[in-house]
Amino acid sequence: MQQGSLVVVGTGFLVAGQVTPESLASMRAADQLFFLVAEPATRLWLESLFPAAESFNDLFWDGRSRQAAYDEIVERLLVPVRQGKDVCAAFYGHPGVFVYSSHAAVRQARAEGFAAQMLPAVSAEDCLFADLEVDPAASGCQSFEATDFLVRGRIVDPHSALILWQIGALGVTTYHLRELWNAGGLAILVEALCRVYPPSHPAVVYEATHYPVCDPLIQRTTIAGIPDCQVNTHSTLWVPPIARAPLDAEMARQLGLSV
Amino acid sequence: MAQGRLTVVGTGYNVAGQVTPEALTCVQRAERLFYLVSDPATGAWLKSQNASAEPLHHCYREGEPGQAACERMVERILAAVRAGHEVCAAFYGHPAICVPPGLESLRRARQEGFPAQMLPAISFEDCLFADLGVDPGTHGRILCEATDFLLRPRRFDPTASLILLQVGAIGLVHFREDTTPNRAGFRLLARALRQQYPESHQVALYRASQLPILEPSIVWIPVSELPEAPLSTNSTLYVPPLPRRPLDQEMLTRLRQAMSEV
Repeated sequence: MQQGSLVVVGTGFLVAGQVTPESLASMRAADQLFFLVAEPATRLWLESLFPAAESFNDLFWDGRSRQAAYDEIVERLLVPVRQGKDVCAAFYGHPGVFVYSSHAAVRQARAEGFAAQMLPAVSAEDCLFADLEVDPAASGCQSFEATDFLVRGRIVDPHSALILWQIGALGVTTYHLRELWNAGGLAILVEALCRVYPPSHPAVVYEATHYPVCDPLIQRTTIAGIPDCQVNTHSTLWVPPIARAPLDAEMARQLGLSV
Repeated sequence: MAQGRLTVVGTGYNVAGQVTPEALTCVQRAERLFYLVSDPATGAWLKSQNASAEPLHHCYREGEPGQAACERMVERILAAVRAGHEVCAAFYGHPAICVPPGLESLRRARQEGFPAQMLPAISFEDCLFADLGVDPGTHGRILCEATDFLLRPRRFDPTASLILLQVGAIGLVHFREDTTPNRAGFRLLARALRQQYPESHQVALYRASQLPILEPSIVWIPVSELPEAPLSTNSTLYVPPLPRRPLDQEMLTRLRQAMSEV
C-alpha cells in the first residue's frame, strides 16, 4: 500500500450535534481536511475547529454544471493523497448519499493503490424516519430521485412507502440559487403519481432541520395538494403505503407460517 | 411530581464510535436509561455512561412471537415515564428501523400525554452505503424485510438497488436464542430472485462491523449460487440494479418546458 490515504466522512444535519466520534477522530487525525457544507452554521463550526480546512464551496456558481464541480472535487482530493498525505473530506449529511464525488474519490484513490474508506453518517432519510416516526421496513420502502422517477419510467408499488428526493429541482442539472427551481414540474409529478395513487391519498412534504433549536418542516397534504405546499430544493416527498399487500397463502404454507 | 418524558435514540453499530453527540447527551442525562443492543460491549459502554442503565433483552422469551417481547419492553419503558422520570430508550442502529418497541413506546407515551421525541441515528443501511460504495440516489433503492418480501409480493423496480433485510431469518417469527439461519427460507428467496435477475447477476451478502477493530463482512456471488451462500441471521442482501431504462425524452422536454414557464 502506498503512503497517502483518504477518509470520507459526513457531518449529519445538526451543526455539530450529529457528528459521530469516529468521524470527528478522522477529521482531527488528517494532514489535510476538505469540506463541502452548504449550511453556514456548520461551516462556521468546522472553520473554528479546523482553521486550516479548505472549503469546496468556491467550485459551485450559478449556472455551472454540477458534474464539472464534482469532477473537480475528486481531483482536488487526490492531489495531496498522491503527495503521501492523510486526507479527510467532510460532506454534510451522509457522505455516500446523493454525493457523487465522495464515492468517485474513494474509487479513484483505491485504483491508484491508496487506502481509502468512507464512514457512515446520519442522512436526510434517517432524519425523516425519526421526525415522521415511520419504519421503512414495516411495509418496505422505495426511494428515487424525483427527476429520475419521472424520466426513467420507474415502477412503484403503492403497497410500499415511497420517498422522492429533490422534488423542487425537477429536470434541473445545473446549479441555481433560486429556492424553487422548477415549480411547474410539480404538476407533472402529481399527474404521474395519480396513475398509482388516489389524488386524496396522504403525502408529506418534508425538510430536515439544520439547527438544534428549529423543528423540521413537516407539511401534511394529499397527492393532489403537493403543488400548494411550500417546496424548495431540500424538500423530500414521503408517501405512505395505501394498504398492506395481499398475502401469498402458498408462500406462507411453504415457510410454515400460519398467518 | 415532575412530568415524565421519553427520548428514543439509536447507538449505531460501532459501540461508542457512531453515537451522535445529541444522542449521547440524552443517554447521559436520563434519569432512567433502557437499552436493547446486539453486543455486550455496547451494553457495558452504556452502563458506563449512565448508572441507571437497564437492558431490555430479557423481555424476549424462547419460542414467543416478537410482538410479545415488544409489548413487554414498551410497558417497562412506559412505567418509568408514568412514574415521572426523564427516560431515554436506546436501541442499536437507527431506532425507527426494524425495532418496533422504539416507535411503539413513542406513540404510546404521546397518547398518554407525555412529551416524546425520537433522534436519528446511523442505520445498517448507512453502513452498507459506506462499505459497499453504493449511492442510493443514483439508481434509486428498494428496501424490504425479507420475510415480508416473500409473503406479500409487490411489484418492484429491478433497475433500482434492492436491499433485503434479515435474509438469514426468513420465516423465523418466534424468538430463539439459537442463531442458526433458516436455509430453507433463504432458498425460497433465491428462487424468487432468479425470476427477476439473470443467473450471472452479482449480489452481495453483507454484515456491518459490530466492533471498531473488525472489518465488515462482504461476500459477492452470482444469483445462481445464492442457495448455498454463506449466511447468518443478521445478513443483509444487496442486489445491484439492472441496466437503466432508456430516457423518456418526451417527459424530459415537458419538465424543461415547465421550467421555462416559471
